[in-house]
Amino acid sequence: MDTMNLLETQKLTRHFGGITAVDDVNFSLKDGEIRALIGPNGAGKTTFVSLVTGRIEASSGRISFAHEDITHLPAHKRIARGMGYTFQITSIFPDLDCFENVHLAAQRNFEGPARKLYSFTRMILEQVGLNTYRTDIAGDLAYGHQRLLEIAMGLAQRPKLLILDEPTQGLAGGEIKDFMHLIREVSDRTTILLIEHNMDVVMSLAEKITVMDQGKIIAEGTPEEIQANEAVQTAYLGG
Amino acid sequence: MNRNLALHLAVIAALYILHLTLPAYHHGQVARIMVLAVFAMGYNILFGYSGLLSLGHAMFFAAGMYGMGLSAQHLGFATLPAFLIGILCATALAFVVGLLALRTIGVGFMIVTLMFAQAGYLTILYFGEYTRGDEGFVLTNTARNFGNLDFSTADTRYLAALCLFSGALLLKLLIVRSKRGRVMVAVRENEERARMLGYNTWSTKLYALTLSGLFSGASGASYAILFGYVGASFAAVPYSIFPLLWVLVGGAGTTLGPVIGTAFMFYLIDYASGVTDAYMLVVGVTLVLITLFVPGGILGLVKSRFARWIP
Repeated sequence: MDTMNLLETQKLTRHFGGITAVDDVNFSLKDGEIRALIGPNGAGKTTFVSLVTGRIEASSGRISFAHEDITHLPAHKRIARGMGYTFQITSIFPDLDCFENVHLAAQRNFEGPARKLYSFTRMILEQVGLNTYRTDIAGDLAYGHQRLLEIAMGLAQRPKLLILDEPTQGLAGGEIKDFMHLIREVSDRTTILLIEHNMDVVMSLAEKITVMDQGKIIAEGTPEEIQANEAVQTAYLGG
Repeated sequence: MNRNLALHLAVIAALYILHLTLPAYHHGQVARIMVLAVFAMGYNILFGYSGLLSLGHAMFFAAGMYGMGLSAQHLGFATLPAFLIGILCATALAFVVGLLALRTIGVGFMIVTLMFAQAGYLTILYFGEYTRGDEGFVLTNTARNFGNLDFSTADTRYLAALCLFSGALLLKLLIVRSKRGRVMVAVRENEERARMLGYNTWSTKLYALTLSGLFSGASGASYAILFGYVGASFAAVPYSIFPLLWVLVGGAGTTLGPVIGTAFMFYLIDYASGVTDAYMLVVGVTLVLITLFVPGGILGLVKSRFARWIP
């Protein structure tokens, strides 16, 4: 195992009945990296990160995070070890206000008095641009703002690894720009694994790209390498 | 002092003023309401804050009541230790029931708790030799004393009920404003999200159920001491439904809602039964109306219209 790696999977596999959604995946992610995970719909990207976070159990294979085997840990323990996860389908606390949503995300591993936690929560809201909406009920926010709230909840946990599952889906052009700026800012202290369909976002943010198709990794490399890769073009264009 | 605490202390002060001013009949009724409101508060911790609907809370109330009553009656325990045994029985029962019932969710949880409660009720009947079954038993006066305090007298009873009520209310305020209390709300709102924020949602639910059992048991044990009677009817289905109604009517997920709900329903039944034999019909219609038009309960309505800060 490479000691620089924050996350590693070995022969990670998941079957659903006769379908193999994730097939023998060996993946590694270096500490401090921004990595994009791309692939056509149904390639197994969300299933793969669900296996990593423990939302779904692996059929076989191994996962290690921060040099420890986490294959058999329940999801909440993996999160507590420093993973943050934002859902593809927005998953917030719809009947609580924005502030409380972020506060709940921040309080678990926050050490210090309530007053500091309060100002930390305000800072995170400020960072994603939701401070003016802090007393609004989360379920009443516009869709784009709910996405930002979801990202704020990820950041508030100050994870070692932040997994973002299609974060820019439903965001307007200006919001996408702000999002990219935000990710660059937090990437100093957080490793990022990004599932994304917007190629502009992928190409400008990611240092390295992993491409999945039909449950397998078919290519991995820098944005330039991936753009030139024939297997990737075939997978995307169906050629 | 913040306004939440001020509001709760004001409620306690108001109840003390009632002690000095109420006529005898209402004085007794309010004492009873305060004890039962603690039961409702316990129910609310589980249902209102954690989102788990139990149909078996009579078993925790009865565990407190019988734990207290039987240990006083048959083992000769003094009032205070018997009271503590009652609370311990209910808390332990809630913990064990939680270990099993929390493997289910939604309707499954409702049915499993209902069945546990029925098993409890039948157990009380089965051991009729000790429990006197349906008929129940009256506690002797030695089991209703502590030092110079005689809980069978109206004034002492009222003040003891007020002490219990105040302690429970402030403890509940503390619980729901704690870190763990906020996580309970998170579990109610979106369990999967709470889990993916790194919270152990299962243990949070077990914690809520155990606390809920503790409050219910304290209410049951106090009821036995203050009103001197222990009977199987308190373990039957209606006593599982009552706290649900009190909480729904008053406002689930608010600290004072269950208190308002208990008082409202108690006086509604009291008034309706003076007017007609079909008083349960009046109660039923009221409930339907509240559920249809005030789904957040009385305090829920006040909160959403006037004061969102009420906890």
